[in-house]
Order: sequence, then C-alpha cells, then structure tokens
Amino acid sequence: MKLLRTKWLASGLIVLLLVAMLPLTAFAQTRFVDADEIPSWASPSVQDLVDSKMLSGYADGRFAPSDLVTYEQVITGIFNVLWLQDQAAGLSQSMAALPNVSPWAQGYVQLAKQRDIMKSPNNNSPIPAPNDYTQPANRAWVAAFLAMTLGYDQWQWDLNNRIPFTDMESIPVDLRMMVNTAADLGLASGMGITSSSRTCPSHVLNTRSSWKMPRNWQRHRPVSAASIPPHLRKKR
Amino acid sequence: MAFFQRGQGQDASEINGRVIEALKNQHTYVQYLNMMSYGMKSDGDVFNGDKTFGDSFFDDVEKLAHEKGLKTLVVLNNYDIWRNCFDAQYAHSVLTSSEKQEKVIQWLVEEIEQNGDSGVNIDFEDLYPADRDLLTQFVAKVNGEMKKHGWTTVVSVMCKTNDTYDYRYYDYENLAKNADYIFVMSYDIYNPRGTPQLPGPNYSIPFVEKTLKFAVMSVPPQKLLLGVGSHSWIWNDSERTQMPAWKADQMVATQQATGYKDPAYNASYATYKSASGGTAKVYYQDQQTYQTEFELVKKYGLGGYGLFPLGWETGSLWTALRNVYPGQ
Repeated sequence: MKLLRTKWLASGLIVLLLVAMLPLTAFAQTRFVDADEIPSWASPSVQDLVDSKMLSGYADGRFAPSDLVTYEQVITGIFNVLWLQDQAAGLSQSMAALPNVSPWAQGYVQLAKQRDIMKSPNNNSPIPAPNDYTQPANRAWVAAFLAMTLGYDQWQWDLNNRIPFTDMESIPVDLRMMVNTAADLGLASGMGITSSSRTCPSHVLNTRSSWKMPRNWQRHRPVSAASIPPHLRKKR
Repeated sequence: MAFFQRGQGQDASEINGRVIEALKNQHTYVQYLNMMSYGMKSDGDVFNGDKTFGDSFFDDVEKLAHEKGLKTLVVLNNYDIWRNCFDAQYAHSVLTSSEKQEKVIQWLVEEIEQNGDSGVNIDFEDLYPADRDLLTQFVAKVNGEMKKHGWTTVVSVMCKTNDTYDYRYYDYENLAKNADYIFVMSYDIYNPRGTPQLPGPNYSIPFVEKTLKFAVMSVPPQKLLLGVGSHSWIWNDSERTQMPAWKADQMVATQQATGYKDPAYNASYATYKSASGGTAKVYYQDQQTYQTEFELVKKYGLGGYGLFPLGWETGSLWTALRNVYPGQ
C-alpha cells in the first residue's frame, strides 16, 4: 500500500534525480544555452521540471548535462520534488551555516539532517553523511538516500526479489541493505554492462551514465498519468 | 551443528543425560559438535575445564559423537571461568602477541589431533572494538593452520544489524573470507544481563531475520549458520540465570508454572513463584518458534543452524527440523 502511495512521488524523483539534478539558482529560463547537449530522451523531462520551477540551470545559462551530480544537488533535487522548499528556506535562515555546503543548499542539508535521513549519533540511519556536500555523489548513496527519503528503511527489501549484485563488496556494509531496498522499489538496478547484477555503486552520476535507471523504473513500475501529481505531469 | 556444554547446577545430570540421548537419537541432524570445554588464560595457555571434573564425561561424549558420525570441534574462546565472563584483555593479549598466538595454535593442533577432532570454532566475545583487524588476522592465521590439515574453521560472532555501532570488533566480511562457517549467535536480543533489560524472548523472530538480512550482505549464505537458542532467561530473578527450554515446558505441563503466549512476539512464556517469593517469568522456545527459525535457514539458503546448547532443547526442536527438512 505504501509503495502504491509513493509511486507517483518516486516517479517524479527519478526524473528529477537522474535526468536533471542541478542546483536551484535565481536563474531560470526556457532554453539552456547548451540545450543541444541534453539527450533527446531527457529533454522533455528537463523542460517539465523547469516549467514546474523545481529546476533551474547554472547562472551562466548552462544545464551542463554531463556535470557530475553532487551530494547537495541530490538532496536539493529530492526535497524540491517533495515540495519542501519553504522548510528548507526556513532552516537556512534559522540555523548556523554548515561547513562544506554551498550557500544555496544550506537549508536542504539542514532538513536532511533534521529528518535523520543520514547517519548521526542520534539515529540508526545507515546512510553516511558526506564530509563535503559539494563533492560528486555515487550511485549507491543516491539510491539509498532516495529510498530513505521516500519513507522506506533498510529492512524492507525482499529476499525473493534478490539478484545479488556482483560488486556488492564495493558498497559500504551499512549501506548495502538500503541499496537493496532501492532496487526493490525500482529506484536503482544493475548497470547491465556484462551482467544485470552489477551496480557500479561507486560510480558518480551524470545524465549520460545513469540513463538505464529511469528506463528500468519505467519498465518495472509503469506509472499512469493520473497518479502523477499535477506539478509533475507532462504538459504536452 | 550443536554445542556441547556440560550441565551445571541442579539440572546438571538431566542435561548431561539429554546430551547423550540427543547424540544417540538425533545425530542425523547434527554434523558438527562444538566442544565448549575450554578456557584460555592471558598467557595463551588453554585448558580443558571438563577434564578437571575427574570423570570421563568429555571423552564419553566425544567417543559417542564420533561413533555416530559427528565431527567434533574445539571451541577456542576468551572466557574467564573464574570471573564467569568473556575477557577482552585475555583476547587482546593474545591478539597482540605473535608468540602467544603460536603457542595457542600449537596447542590447538595437538588437541585436535589427540582427540580426533575436525577443527576449531573461534568464539571471541566482548572484545575491544579496536581489535577488529587483529581478530580477523588471528582467524586467518588459525584457518591457515587448519587448512594444512584439512580441518574446519568456524567463527562465532554476536548478531548485529549494523557495522558502525554494534560489535565493531567483528568484521563479518573478512572473517568469512578466512573461515568455512560463520556462526551467528542470533539470540539473546532480550536478556537480563543486556541493555536495556526489557522482558522478552531471547529469540525474537523479527530480530533474528534482521540479523540474517544484515549478515547475508557480507557473508555468503552457505557459510552462515543460524544460532538457535535452547536456553531461556529467567526474568525477575535476582541471579539472572537461565533455564533449559525443556524445564519450562515441564513446569507448565505439571502445573508448577502457567503457560502463556505473548502476542507481541508470538512467543511462549511461563510464570511461576520463584524461590524469593516473587513472580518469575521465563520465555522459552516452542515448536512454532523453532520451526520458524528453521524456515529462515531454508529461506535464506544458509549453510545450517547451530543449536546452543545441546541438551537444553525440547523434543519439539527435532520435530520442527523434521517438518522443515523431511526425509533427512
């Protein structure tokens, strides 16, 4: 039941995360200066998110589709889709600035901490808090963060769904079950390079290397238009 | 596999008798018998505590086990029998000394050869977290020696659900690379000596499955052995002691205790008037919980189970095994 309720949400998140994770800036436009570099399969989704005001490009007008996605961009992207901009803005005003976090992401990272999504002495989250949020995030961390934010915990993966990842050893031990949960939800899957069971968990994400993830989502978790909230529906 | 531990206290002779009966009648369900007879001292000396009783019970058990086709393992631990606890400093002194390790390994080889054993079960508990890598290195060294002789190495580990806060000294992944089996002591989540001291079954099934889920992330399932406890903690008891499952069962059957089912844990428990006059409460394994645990062994494709200790179980354990593994 919980899975059904969050399908629409996850769909939007996937689009946002894996296609168009970029910081919110004051700059927003209808066409990026590097729009031609955005793959055709991603372009409509990027446009939708821009139109929904959940995404904007860099201040210089670029979307930069091949840039590596950073931790703070992942966090910001997910919380924007969850419509938590106001909460993030409030925290940004009231809390002391965090080190190694860009000014525009301060409130979002504070919110992630406040919600115990990342590991701290006060919670049992298996997701490590990055030392530097401006650094590229890897696939395992993004998948885990996404599943945890949607309200799933590390115990919810089902053994019967399991296709053992051949490179599981390269995922930190405490993160492995969360990655399994994300795989069960269709938020992550193997890379399918030589085998469908390879996650390449330490790979950082950019729009080109992660194209299989939204594709897998669409294949395994079809989402009807009616189940997508208005602000995420395609306007074509 | 199962663990042999000589009976103590008022139930000693009954427990010892049940060990013999189980070996005679249930041996097809036990491949390895772990001889929990040894203690280690800080100088690396290991001794057989059973031999200090001046009887032949240890030899009788080993002989019967071998006759029935069981393989026996020496349980090497850091247990201080005088203080009745595991001693981190004992272990540390061995783990940090090549000389002591050589001494222990040499003793181990001689003991195994002398008894006709088939290997070792390394059961180091309550260690210093910083000794994590040292423990793994020691296990690798022991396993290297075992393999020269074609012997088996088992490592007993406390169950846990994360690698950051709990039992940091166990590196499941690397221990598994240096052992044939990892025995997960997936019981005692609730016990009167633990923290917090909340009454509950020491074999809570949801918790057991969580520990398995965590373990299979680091250990190949076929190397994992699920701990099945037959000991029952007595709550509201000043001495914080344990009771065999069969005794709780008997007390209920003879109306010395009243039996209940705890819906929160789907577990059996009994209450009775303790010697101090208060109401004691004891959770104990019944056929349903045994069977659920064995089904987990099957579900996760584990290498097997480990009964701790033999002679404390009710007969329903064997029935449960037959139900889950018919024809074996």
